[in-house]
Amino acid sequence: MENLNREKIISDLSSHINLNKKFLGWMGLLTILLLICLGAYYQQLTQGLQVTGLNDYVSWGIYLSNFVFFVAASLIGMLMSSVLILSGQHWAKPISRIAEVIAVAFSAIAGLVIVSDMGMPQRLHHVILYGRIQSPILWDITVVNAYLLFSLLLFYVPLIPDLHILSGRFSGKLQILNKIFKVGSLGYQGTEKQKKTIARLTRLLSYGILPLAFGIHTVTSWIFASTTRSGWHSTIFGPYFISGAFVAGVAAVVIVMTVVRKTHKLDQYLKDSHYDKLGKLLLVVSMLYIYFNINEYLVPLYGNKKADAHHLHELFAGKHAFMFWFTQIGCLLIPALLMFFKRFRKIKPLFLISIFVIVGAWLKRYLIVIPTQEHPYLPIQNVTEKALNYQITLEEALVSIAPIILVIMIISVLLKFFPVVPIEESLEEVENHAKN
Amino acid sequence: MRILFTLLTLSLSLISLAEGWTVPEDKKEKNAHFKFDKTSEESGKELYYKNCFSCHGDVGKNNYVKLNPDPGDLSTSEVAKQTDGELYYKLKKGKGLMPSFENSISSDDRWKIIAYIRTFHIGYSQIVELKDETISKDQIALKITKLEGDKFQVTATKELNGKTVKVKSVELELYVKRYFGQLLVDESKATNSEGKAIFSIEKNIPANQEGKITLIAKALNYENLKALQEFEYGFKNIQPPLNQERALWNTVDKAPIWLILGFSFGLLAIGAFIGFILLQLKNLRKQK
Repeated sequence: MENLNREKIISDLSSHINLNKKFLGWMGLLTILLLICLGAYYQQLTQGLQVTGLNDYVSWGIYLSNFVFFVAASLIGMLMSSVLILSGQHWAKPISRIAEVIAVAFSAIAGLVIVSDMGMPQRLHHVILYGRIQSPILWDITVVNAYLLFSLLLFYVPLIPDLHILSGRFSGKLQILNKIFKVGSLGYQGTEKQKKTIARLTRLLSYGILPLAFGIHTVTSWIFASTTRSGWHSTIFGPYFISGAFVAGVAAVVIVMTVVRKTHKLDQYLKDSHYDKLGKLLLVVSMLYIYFNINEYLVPLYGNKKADAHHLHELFAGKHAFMFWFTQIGCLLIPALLMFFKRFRKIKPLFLISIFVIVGAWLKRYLIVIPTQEHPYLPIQNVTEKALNYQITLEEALVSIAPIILVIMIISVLLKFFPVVPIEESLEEVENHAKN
Repeated sequence: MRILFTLLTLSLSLISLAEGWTVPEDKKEKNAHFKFDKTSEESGKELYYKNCFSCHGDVGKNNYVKLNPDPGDLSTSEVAKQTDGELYYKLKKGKGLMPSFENSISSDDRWKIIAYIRTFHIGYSQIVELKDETISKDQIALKITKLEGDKFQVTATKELNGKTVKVKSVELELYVKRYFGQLLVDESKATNSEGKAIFSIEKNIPANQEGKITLIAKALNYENLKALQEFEYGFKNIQPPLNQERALWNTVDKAPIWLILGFSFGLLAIGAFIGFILLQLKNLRKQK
């Protein structure tokens, strides 16, 4: 009976590891889209950044807001694996690998987003050769890469037991996976000592990644907050960004989880209760983010310094008013309010709400990065009025979509060829249940 | 005896009440360098109403503001009997509630205000101090020399028929050269009959890194007449270059130590942590 149960669990959680047509079609579609976007990048490489809408006023456009969004989304790994699991929220365990995969994908590609913003990417190595140690940008590059390494380890180390369990089970075209998994399992046999080591290392990594994850998004926020521009020069940008990252991250997890649940047939393991808990988590982090939003806008509104007043006017009633209110009300306030009701903490409603939340998260980063640049303290000389209006061009949009496609590809591949729900953990839970 | 004493004190106090405002002797003799005519009187009237009316009221109507002391009406004999130089000095320096107009009204404009006021003084006849046409600025030489203590002397001489002649009444201002301009030291002084004017400069005036200051003497009543001389005087001001110290805003080689240490420590910590994890993973195989 136990063995049958064991076998069923292992089979359920690994049946998606195959090369079916759907997956190949999906990857093929993504590849085609990516190639189109890379064509646009080629235009940018040969003609320079003039193919974008960037100008004298707005020199950081959607490439940068995209980057901030990527760094934000990657924080979900820390939230799930470290904060939740370390504090005993064991319901999050089946979801933690999805969170880590999202974290790995976003932090890996974040650097590429920055490279796409460079007019001369061939000078990238100058950052290391002639880097300015006093620059928050350099600190950001350092922490993002460190976080990527930690997230990779947090993805890999808990995966080792599962690699051991699955090695030897593949046949046909997938035989090569047997070898890869065997090597990857590093000689893990499931002994007590080894289990303890894996648990210890996972716990260590979970603790270690906490300051790093806080660092990654705080340092990203310092890139803006260390300037004196109105709208950016805020002392609370660090916590503001981090709480925003949690909101975006939870929404991302819900979306990926819902898709994977369908395609990998995991409804027995990613249950309604998970959605209910995620909904409550979304509510909590949204409340926190709303709190920071109120601080971020009410305080300069009250002080009404001329430059701040101008910036806030543009957001509340001016050029960016529609985007601002759509994001704040439609994609933050209303989702948070809906999370109070159990009816909306179910699969379909939560999935839909999460799409709004994540779109809102992307738009919010646009609203953080671009409006501030449209009104510097002193006007820029010899520049036409036209430059005050930042208009996204087609090439710019395509080059921004490319990293998103890459992220989706990485998530798809990692969640396709590795078990999504940790197998050994699930087996252990069933065993513990049986014992009790 | 006591009565005499009381009378003496009383009369002295009365005199002190009337004492008012004394003007230095050399300033009393100063006169405008142009003739007061209808245009200068009209400009003067405009300037008067802009700057003086608020306290002194209309000239001749006694509608001045009651202050302590009273500004007084400017058509009285008290005012009329003062020289142009005295009125000019008072306008320039101010006293108590009357502000100094030295910086807010130009020299010529001050003369024009006086021109306007003088139209109310019966029996006034102007003494014009036209520039001496026989002496052009090219012929005058200024020389700055240091005297003992804190005194500096400026001499004005000219060559006339092969002989060096002293020039008097050259109005001089002495400046110390600073980074972004020139600092006026002491008051403006006119050269006396010896052709000399003496200025004092405080002993602790900041000098450059070698302990030297550059003095510039400028003549007010001659165009483009000046002299420049360096002296060892003042407080030797040794300042390191502004970018010598380590700072966040300085170049990379002058980055703050705490930042270099902190960043390096952070990198080492991350590297050590990852190294430790990888080492443990390597030894996983051996754990049975």
